[in-house]
Amino acid sequence: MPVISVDHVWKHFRRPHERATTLKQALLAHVRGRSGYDEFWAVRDVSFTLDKGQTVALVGANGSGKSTLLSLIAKVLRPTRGTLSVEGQVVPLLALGAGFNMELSGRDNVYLNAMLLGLNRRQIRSRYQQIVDFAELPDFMEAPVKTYSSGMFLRLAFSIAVHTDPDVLILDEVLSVGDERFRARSLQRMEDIRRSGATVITVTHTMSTIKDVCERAIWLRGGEAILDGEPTEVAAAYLAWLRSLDAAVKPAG
Amino acid sequence: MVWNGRAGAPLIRDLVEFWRYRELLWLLVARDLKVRYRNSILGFLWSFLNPLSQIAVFWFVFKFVMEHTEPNYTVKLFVAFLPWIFFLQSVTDGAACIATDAGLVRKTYFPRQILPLSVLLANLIHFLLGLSVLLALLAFLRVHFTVQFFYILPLLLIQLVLSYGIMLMVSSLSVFYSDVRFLLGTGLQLWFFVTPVLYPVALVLKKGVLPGGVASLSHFLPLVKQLYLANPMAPIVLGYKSAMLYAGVNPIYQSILESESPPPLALAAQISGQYPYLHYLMLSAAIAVITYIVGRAIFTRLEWQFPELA
Repeated sequence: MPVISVDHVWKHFRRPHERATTLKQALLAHVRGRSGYDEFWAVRDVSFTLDKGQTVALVGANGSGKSTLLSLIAKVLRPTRGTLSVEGQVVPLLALGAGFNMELSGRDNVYLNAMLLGLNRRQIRSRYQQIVDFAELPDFMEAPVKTYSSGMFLRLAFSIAVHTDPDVLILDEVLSVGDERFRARSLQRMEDIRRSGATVITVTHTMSTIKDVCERAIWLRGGEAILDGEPTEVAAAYLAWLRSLDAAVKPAG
Repeated sequence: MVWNGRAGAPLIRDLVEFWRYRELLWLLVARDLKVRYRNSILGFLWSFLNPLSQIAVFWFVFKFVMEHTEPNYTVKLFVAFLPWIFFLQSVTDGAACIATDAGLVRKTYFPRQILPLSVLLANLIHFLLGLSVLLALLAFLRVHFTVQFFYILPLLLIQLVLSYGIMLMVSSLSVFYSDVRFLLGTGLQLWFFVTPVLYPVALVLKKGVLPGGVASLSHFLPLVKQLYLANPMAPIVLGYKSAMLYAGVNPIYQSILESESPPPLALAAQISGQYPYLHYLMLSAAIAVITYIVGRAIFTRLEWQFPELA
């Protein structure tokens, strides 16, 4: 029984060259036959299923549709075509600290963010200390988040996300938070989450992480899933493709 | 995906959803209250100082410049201004709420209706604080409290539904067109002046009845007056005056009585019979419900596009 099933999903964006934000612009654009739009498909006919406890990496160049696909799984975006179903509590980490309010204290932000990620007040209270300890910020929780360094900010955001007992955890390029030591603990924590039976989907550009953490990788190119399999195999194919691009560019330059 | 299932009773489903997300809702309300006056010395006092200063301006203009002689004008101004400010502030804040929380909308899933609702509730708390100051003022001025004071509860309910309906419309539409917010600013100003906040309703209703009415308009005057009272905020503001100052007496009747120094009893009876207050209050409630239904329909039609545009 798959936890996530993505069935022929397409996602279309109409990206205006310059978005019409007033009625006048909208009317003008309409009169001119909507010439101001740039139509494109961010995700094209992607299908796959993920089982409980699987850890999968999405790889691909910038603009290949990885983040759009993650947003679709997180139910933030809606597919244009196809169907997508997800079972259980999805904890999306599409951008660390998206729900943080700079004026509020660290403590208030832990409550607000954890709740946005699906915990209730009682659960947060019981995990609060763990979250703070993992982020190594016990002395800063009453200070407004705007006084944090960017590293502190990201550590707190990451710590909240990985203490939410998700059924599905989505990590978008967030495995490079903090120093070496924090990163090692992050990977350990992810391993624990995976062992607890959660499905983890991650996007990363660090091929070594993929090989260490994931058991499966999917390569997206131009919105299409062109390769799905062993992480070492997919990473190798992807890297070879990147090198071929470089080779194609070099003679010209 | 539970995006926009259309079957079932939408209101019940909304309430169930709000209940399920009540903790998040309260946290967002608390955030609004905490953040609004951060880094200000006077803090929460601004909730009172802002309306107070506006009241002071209107009071000065009406009382001194125009020598408006309505009895107890200052108290009436306070009583009518408070619910108006609540309405104005809720709708204005509401228009910006999706854009303000674009970060949340783009990155996490939760029922989007929670955002305007949290803005409404935060403003409700400001209103209740203002109300307590007003009550202290009334006690100081030795206004008698009667049990009819609780008439403000149904008024408050109608206003909440109306405000929320408008907030659903403007918050979702302003994601697509920023004109909405500019239009709203102008519209609300106009709306303020056609609502009996600054002046007694008798001023409008007596037009054409007494000599000196605008002759060319007199043919249409009854219709204009009906339209004037069909403004859903008019019966609400009048109701506050009735509940807090007139011990529940029909506010139209009372306003006409107060408009002349030998009380024109027959005229007051005639006009308030011609424009029955309770009917207009019920109309206001009906408009509020319709506004909510339309606002909800617009919002749910547009909300899935918020993450792409906000």
